[in-house]
Amino acid sequence: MQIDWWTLVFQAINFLVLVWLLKRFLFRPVRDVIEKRKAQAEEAFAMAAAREAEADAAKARMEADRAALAEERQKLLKSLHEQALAEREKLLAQSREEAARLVDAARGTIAEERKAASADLRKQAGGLAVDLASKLLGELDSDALSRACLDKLENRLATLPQDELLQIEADLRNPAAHVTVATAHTLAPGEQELWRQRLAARFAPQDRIVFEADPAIVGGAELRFPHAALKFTWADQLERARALLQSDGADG
Amino acid sequence: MEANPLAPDILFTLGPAPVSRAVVTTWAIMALLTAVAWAGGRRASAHAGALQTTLEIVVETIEKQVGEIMRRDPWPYLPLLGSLFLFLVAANLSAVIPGAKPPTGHIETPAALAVVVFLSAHYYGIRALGGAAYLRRYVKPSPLLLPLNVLSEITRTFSLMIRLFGNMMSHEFVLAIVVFLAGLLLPVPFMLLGMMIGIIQAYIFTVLAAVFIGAAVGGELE
Repeated sequence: MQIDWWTLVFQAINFLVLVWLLKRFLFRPVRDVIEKRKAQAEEAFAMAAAREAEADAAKARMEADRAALAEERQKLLKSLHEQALAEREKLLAQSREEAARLVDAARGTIAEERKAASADLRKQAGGLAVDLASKLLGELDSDALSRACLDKLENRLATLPQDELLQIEADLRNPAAHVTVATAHTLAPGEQELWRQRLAARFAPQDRIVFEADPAIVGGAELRFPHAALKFTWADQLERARALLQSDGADG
Repeated sequence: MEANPLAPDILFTLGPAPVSRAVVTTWAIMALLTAVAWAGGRRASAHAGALQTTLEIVVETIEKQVGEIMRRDPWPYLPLLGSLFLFLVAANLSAVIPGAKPPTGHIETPAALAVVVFLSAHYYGIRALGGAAYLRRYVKPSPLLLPLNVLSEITRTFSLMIRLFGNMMSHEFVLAIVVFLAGLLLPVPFMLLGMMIGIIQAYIFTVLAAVFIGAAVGGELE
C-alpha cells in the first residue's frame, strides 16, 4: 500500500476549507437563527411572565376593589337599614301622634255630637213633654181649675209690689179702661159671675170686666190690665218649663 | 493483472501536484455541501423555509450529540465536528452514485481527516488549558506513563484512520466482488448495507473526534 502525500495534503486542505465554508454558510447562520429564535422565545416568555404578573396584580387589585366594594356595600346597607329604622320610628311616632290627635279629635267630635244629640233629645223631649202636658192640661180645664187659678191670681195680686199695684189701680181709674179675663175656653156664666165678684171687690165695677177665650194660653187664666198683665196660665208655665229644660240642656 | 485498487487514481496534475479522483470527488462534495448550506442559510430567518428547517434540524441534532459527548458548549467545536460528520456522510454515500468512488475508500482521505482531528485536539486543548497544563497531563498519573500516553495519542489517531479506511475500502471490495459474481440485482442489499455502514462510520469517526477533543479540552487522556 502506498500513500499519495499530495492527495493527503489536498484532502487536509480541502477539509479545512470545507470547515470554513460550512462555518460561514451553515453553522453561523443557523446559530444566529437559533439564537434569534431563542431570544424571541425568551422575550415572549418574559413578556408572558410580565403579563402574567400584570394580570396577577390586576386580579389582586380587582379582588381588593371587590372586597372594598363589598365592605362599602355592607356599610351602605347598614346605614340605609339604620336610616330606615329611624325613619320607621319617626313615622311610627308621627302616626301615633296623628292617631292620638285623630282619636282626641274624634272623641271631641263624639262628645260634641253626643252633647248636641243630648241637647236635641232634651229639647225634643222637653217639647214633647210640654206638648203632651199642654194637650193633657187643655183637656183637664174645669171649673175647679178656674177657681184655683182665681185663687192663685188673687194671691199674686196680694204679693205684688205696692208701686205696681198702685199703677194698675191708676190705669183702671180711666173709665174706658177695663180688665180682661182671658181663659183657654169660654167660662160658664156661673164662673164668670164668680170672677166678676172677686175682681170687682178689688179693682173695678163688674161691667168693666170682660171675658175672652184664648186657646193659646192652654189652661189657667190671664188678667190683662191696660198696661200690665198677671198670668197664671199653663201656656206660661209650660213655656217656663220649656225654657228651663232647654236651658238645662244647654248647660248640661 | 489489473492495477492496484488501493493506489490513488490520478486524474490530472496541477503543476507538480497530481490530483486524484478522491480530491476531485471531495471538491464535488464540498461544492454540493456549500451550495446546499448557502441555499438554506442565505436568507436565514426565524420563520424558516423547508430547506432551512432541515438544515436547522441537522445542525441541532449534531449540536445536541456533540454537547452530550463533550459535556460543554458545543458551538466552538461544531464547525469542525459538524463539517466532519457531514463530509463523511456525503463521502461515504457517494458510493451509491454510479461511477463515483468514495474518497474515504482511499487511505489519504481518512489519514488527512485523522491528522486534522489529531492537530485540532491539541490546538483546542492548549487553547483551553495552556501549553504547560496541557503537556502536564501526559505525565499523569505518573511520569513513567509518558511513553505510553504519547504512543496512545499516535495509535488512536492511527486507529481512527484505519477504521474508516478499512470499512469503506472493504465495502468497496465486497460490492465489487458481489457485482462480479451475481450481476445487477444482488448488490442492491449490499449497497443499502453500505449506506448504513457509511453513516455509522461517519458517526463513529465524529464521535471519536469529539471524545478526543473533549478529553483534550478537559485535561484528560482518553
